[in-house]
Amino acid sequence: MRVDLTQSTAPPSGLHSGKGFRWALLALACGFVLAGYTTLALLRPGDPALWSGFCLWLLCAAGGAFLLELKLPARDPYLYPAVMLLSGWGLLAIERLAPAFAERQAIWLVPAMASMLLAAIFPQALRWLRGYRYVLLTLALALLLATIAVGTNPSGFEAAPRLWLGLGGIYFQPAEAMKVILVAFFASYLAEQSATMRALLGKARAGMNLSPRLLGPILLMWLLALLILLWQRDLGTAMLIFIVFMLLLYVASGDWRIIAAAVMLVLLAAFAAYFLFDLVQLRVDIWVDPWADADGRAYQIVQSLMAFAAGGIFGSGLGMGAPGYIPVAHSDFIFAAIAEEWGLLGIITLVSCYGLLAWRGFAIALQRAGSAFGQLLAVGLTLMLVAQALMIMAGVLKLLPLTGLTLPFISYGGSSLLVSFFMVGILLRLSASER
Amino acid sequence: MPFAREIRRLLAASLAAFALIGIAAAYWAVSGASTLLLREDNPRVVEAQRRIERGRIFDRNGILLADSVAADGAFTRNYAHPASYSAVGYFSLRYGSSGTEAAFDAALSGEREIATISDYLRAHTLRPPQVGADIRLSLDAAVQEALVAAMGALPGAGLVMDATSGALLALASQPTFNPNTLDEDWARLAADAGEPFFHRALQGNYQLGGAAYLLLLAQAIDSGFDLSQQFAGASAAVDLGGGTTVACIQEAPSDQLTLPQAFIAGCPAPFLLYWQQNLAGTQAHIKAEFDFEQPLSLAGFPAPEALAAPASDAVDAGQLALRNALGQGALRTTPLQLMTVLSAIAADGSAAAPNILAAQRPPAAESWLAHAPPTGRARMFSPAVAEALRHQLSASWSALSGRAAPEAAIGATLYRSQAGDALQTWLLGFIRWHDGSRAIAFLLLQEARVGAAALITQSQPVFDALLALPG
Repeated sequence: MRVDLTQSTAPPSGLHSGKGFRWALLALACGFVLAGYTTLALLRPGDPALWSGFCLWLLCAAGGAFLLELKLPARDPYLYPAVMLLSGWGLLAIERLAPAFAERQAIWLVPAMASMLLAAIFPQALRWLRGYRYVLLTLALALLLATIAVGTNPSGFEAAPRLWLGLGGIYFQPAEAMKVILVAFFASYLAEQSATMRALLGKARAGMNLSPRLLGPILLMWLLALLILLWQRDLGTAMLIFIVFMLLLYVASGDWRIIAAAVMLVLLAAFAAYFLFDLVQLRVDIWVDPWADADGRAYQIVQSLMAFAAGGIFGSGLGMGAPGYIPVAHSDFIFAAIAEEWGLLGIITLVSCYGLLAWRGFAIALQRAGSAFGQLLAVGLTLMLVAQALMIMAGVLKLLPLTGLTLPFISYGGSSLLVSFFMVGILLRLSASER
Repeated sequence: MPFAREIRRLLAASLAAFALIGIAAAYWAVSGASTLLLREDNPRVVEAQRRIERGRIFDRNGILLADSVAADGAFTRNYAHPASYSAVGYFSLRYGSSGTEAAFDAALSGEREIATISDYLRAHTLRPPQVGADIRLSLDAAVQEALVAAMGALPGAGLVMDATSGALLALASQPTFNPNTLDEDWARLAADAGEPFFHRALQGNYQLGGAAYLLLLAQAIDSGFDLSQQFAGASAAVDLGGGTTVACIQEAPSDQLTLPQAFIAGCPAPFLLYWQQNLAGTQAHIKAEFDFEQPLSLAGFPAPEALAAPASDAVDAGQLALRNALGQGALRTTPLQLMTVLSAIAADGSAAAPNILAAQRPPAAESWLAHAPPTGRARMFSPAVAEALRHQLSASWSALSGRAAPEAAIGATLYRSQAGDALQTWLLGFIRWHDGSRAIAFLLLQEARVGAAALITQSQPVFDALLALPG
């Protein structure tokens, strides 16, 4: 029996689309985060400051929900509670792992929430993304290039990639903004070209060669990704952008050979990068055999796997594990830290939240049948969030080499949080406009 | 609907990828967990052990020997009784455990058996703090102190055993270590030529030496040999070849001695003559009855060193046979093994298996659960032979100490063993209450040439402590 998950995307009425249901889901998320903070407060009785993060998060969650109810009542009911649960969980985990960073993350939540509300409430955001796509792309590329000249790294390590722009102690990663601008650009470009592409591909199947009009953008993007990789040594972002673009191209063209070509190009790029960059070589080597240098270069991934083992099915309990042994656990490896204290059950819950995000994102794309741009934009944004989550989770679990990406909504990182919320804002806007 | 097919495929692929993530997480959290959790380089193992409140260790009278002290949510081990260091051993997060700490680690660390689903859920969801059971040893702190004082600063071993039950009342090895400062001292201790981590009483492997006289005397009594027969040239030293000679421990009263007289003076020549007259039987008797080639070990403690024969220093077959007869050849023993022989003499000819654990008290429990000692006794002598040997040992004690036992029979003998440059002086003794209600065996080994008078003087406080034991 074939089950079509997308058919249940827009129940017209009843409990699952009602206001009460939406508030109930949000209350569940609040309850979960509150329980976590209460546990932390019991473990750290002399630290009332930890509640400030929760209060800020709660204020954002409630304020956002009120505004959305007011301005966007017909939105998807699951997306907002899901991302609020993830962001609250992330804040809680950062508070547990690195309290000094939790306050900054909580402060970043405010502009992140504002960006989401702007994108969700004001329809102009969508129009600007499409109408000013070249301006935005140029601006994003300029910022990206600026990192080469005046880029910095908040960690202060000389050898670390300089992917941030800093001003007055606030750091922003232009590559994060690049993600959403590129997706909007691709969606816009492909929405206009999709009919032509499908026609060309039809002829190609009949024996004609693939047109440069089809191959051109692919090669251009591949080169752009390689350039980012070359300049910034930001393997993860380059790979992510390339994968999302290829999948968008597949959706627009309807030809699976695009995916085959993408896989070949990714392998080719990875092969070349292995010999060109020490960082890539290191990540591949410790992926193949981390145990050979478990106390040295592979220490982080080995400790990550040990955290999964220590957590077992039920986890050691919040504050009772030893995730501090994972270097920088609050950032790239927060997934492993959660595995240690919430166990496999926590991981399944977390992965289910991302699965829910994927389901709702693609469902919104299907709902937007009337607009190719809206559909492709929803697919692109969903893919960007989902692929990023999959790549970092797979890296932490030794399924793929590490990519240095953050886990959306969970990991510490203001730029990532802000852009991820903005993407969700657009998805909420798209989900509501059809209805 | 445009793109619908492709979007549905992407959705399916995404959900499949998340499922794969779940499966991989399940693998590391469940299937692969045991391997990772046991890796030596897993810091969580140490972290978990720091949080275990190990049980306390007491002597038989409730005197504290070791406990756990809480600090910052973790526990450190504290050893309260210096004389018991070598018996209690150590527990270190860095270097593992030894001695009693290692032998009863499962009980002390509160290892939980997971037999049911309920046990599993309790252990993995509630994760209650791991608290170990208290244990009470058969050691007696006062006897232990007397034994360690008697050993002085010389390398050696000491054992005191209740001959009726096999319970060890004292157990010591010298040199030893301070388990309270083990981590700081480890490098120095590991490099120490005196091998402080080597437990001489349990792992030592020594020449049988003059203990052979005792066994030959037992064989003579058992076979009905005329103990009044005198041997000429009894006070002469015996040349064992290779520059090794053995002589009387004490000045012989005459040049003609019976076997009992030779035993008191520790003179080898009469025993050699006796052995030459009863060659085959004597050699077989020692090996078969006392099982020196496969010495026993204390359950849970390190096994003795392999009892390899000492390197021969170019002696011929005849001289080697002489050496074997006088306990200076291939026959070797451990102090614990010899202790069982002595305890068989102190009792009625049979020996109980040595043991050290008296009772356990589970966490939060009020009462102690007595530990059942091993059952069965190894018969080594007939009761009559044992009694005859006790008489010989008592006579020897009187001769050595010039004292008589008031309320209990005391016996002791003193001899030496030698292999190459290594020389040991032994004292084997016993106390047996006249009504037979209690018998205690005592062994003191010094890895040096110690005079008879000095050793008797040194060991006197141990006899006094044993006599002061409650009935």
